[in-house]
Amino acid sequence: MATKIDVVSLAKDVKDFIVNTDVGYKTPLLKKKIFDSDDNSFLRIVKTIGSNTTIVDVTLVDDDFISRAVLGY
Amino acid sequence: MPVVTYESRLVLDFHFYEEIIRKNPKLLMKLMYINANSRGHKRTSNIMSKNIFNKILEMYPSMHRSTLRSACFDIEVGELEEIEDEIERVIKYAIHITEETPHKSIILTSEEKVNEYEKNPHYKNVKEISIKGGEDAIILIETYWKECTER
Repeated sequence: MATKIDVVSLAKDVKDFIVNTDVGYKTPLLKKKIFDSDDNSFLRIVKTIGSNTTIVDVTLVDDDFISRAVLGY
Repeated sequence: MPVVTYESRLVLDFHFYEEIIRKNPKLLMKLMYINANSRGHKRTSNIMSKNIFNKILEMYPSMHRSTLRSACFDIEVGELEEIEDEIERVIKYAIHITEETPHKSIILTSEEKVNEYEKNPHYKNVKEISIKGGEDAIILIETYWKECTER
């Protein structure tokens, strides 16, 4: 059974991970969203890990994201 | 974005999160950049006792584990994690990580707690660690952040 986890990493590190491993995507748009992002931005990647790794959600971690996480709004 | 050899690793306590980060959320992003670009300690340069890390997640459910984890590594060394006194535990973690390069660490806390750390008997005569609180801690983060973003 696949396990869902999430990781916050620099986009450059996410891209390096993707090109070096066999990763699937819930929708093709998620792959585009990752590769269109600035290398120096942070991305929150939600993925399922099991026999196959599948990226199921991608969120840009910007100041608003951080503010909501820290303050709750 | 360059990889940086920082002069010291950073040790964050609960009061730092409560008093500094909660009032300046953008500092969390800066800590994320420092953590991601530290030479030899990628994603583990900044640390926080796992007990404190989990207390923050419990108190503030809007904070995702992965976001906080990106800013600081939730370190867990059995014998140290069992120390109930939080000041003593943070000091001993700060000493513990000086075994590795750069052999220096700085405890970041609130302005009010600096004195408590400095008076703690476990802190006396330890030259490898120092303490910064309040505005001094903010200035240090800004300096470290600029090192990895402005070269």
